[in-house]
Amino acid sequence: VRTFRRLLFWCVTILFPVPLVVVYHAVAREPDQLKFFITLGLVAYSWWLAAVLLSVRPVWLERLVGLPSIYGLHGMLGVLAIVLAFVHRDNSYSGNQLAVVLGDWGYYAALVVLCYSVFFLSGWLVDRVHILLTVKRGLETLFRHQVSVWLHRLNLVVIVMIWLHAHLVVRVNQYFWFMMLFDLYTLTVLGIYAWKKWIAPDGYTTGTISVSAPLGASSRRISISLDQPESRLLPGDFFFLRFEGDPAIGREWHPFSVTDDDQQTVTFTIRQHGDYTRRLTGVRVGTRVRLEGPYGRFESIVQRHDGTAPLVLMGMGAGVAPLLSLAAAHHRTRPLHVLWAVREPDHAYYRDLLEQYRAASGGRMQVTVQVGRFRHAQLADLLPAETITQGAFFVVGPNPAVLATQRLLRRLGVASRRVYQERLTM
Amino acid sequence: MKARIKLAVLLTLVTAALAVLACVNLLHVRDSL
Repeated sequence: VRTFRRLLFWCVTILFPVPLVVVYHAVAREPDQLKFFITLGLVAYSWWLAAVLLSVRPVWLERLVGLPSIYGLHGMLGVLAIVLAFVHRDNSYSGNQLAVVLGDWGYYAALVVLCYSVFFLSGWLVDRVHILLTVKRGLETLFRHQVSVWLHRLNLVVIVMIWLHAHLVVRVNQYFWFMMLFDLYTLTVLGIYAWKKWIAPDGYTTGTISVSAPLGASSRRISISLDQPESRLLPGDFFFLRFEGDPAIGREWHPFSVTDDDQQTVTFTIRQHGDYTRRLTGVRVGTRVRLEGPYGRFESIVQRHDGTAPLVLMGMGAGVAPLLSLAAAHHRTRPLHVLWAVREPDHAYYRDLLEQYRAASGGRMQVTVQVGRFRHAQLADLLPAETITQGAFFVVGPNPAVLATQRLLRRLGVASRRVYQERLTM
Repeated sequence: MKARIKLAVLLTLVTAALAVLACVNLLHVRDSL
């Protein structure tokens, strides 16, 4: 079901340009070869628009396919659009000099945005090559996350440039109904984007910080008392948070996982590692917070699994947060094994809470907390054969640690379709 | 309420933009003849 949904989502998004292309081919009277290269430009533009549409991350879509899938396709569409734009630019011609200049500038700006985003915002390179991660961390002192987000928004400027480019090309703009559809595509996407940024936050859940306390040396526990209980909240979910009225923190949206299963007061465990999360040290009790979400698919995955099959919750550092809320919800009803790897002994701040869950579980729950990553031989020892063949594995932590754990589980013989992951950075 | 007003403003802007673009597109067609 999961694969089918994802496939359907990919197909629908990839086919987004089809109506525009069909209408163009129905009305255009250009030579076939030129039509083909203009089509490539149209598909590239529509995919760029579709990528903007995906960045809106609607909750219903996230519940269907998951945020990694949405952002994965968002990035892939960007790459595919650039490839098609390159071929289009190399093989098309126009007598209008301004159209050519705008097309060129749009292409180069898109290329810059894409390269920058692949390096700084996606984990495609930095999560896999350690040296690049070191370079990124060094450069981050110069290019703060907020700078990255603003540079990313340059893609809206790209859209305006390419939109104008198309309006100036006679081989395209002479077809009235095609141009109306082209404008409808553009205005619909920009309208939805504007709605998301300007109107949607007014409808989000709001609350007030009731607890802000350090957890160990590099993490923080923040509890938010919601103005109204959030009945849609499920164990393992996360929200995008925006702290309001504190200029020192800023008004950026950042994702954080809920640590417990309380729908009135939600608690977050925040690892203060990045530039933004370190600023949260100064966040005061009483600060107003806006919460976008809840997002997350862990609980629906748990519900789909056989109720007698064990759940293995593997958390690295603060990655234990969503797993704790899953443990809170299921420790009395399902066989459960929580494996938590921390960097330093004093980072195991939830050891007592986990012990409480274990004691109340009637022997269903096991807890293993250790300093340093889990190794192959150790996991082979800890996990019985039945767990390896039937268990559902939930892995949460920093990106490189999650990828390493996924490889480890594959070597142990865990089928990848039973491994579900959430990465802390994005 | 505030959100509804904002939504009305946004929809008006999008509709107005589409109407202006329809005129622009008609001019394009006239120029190409």
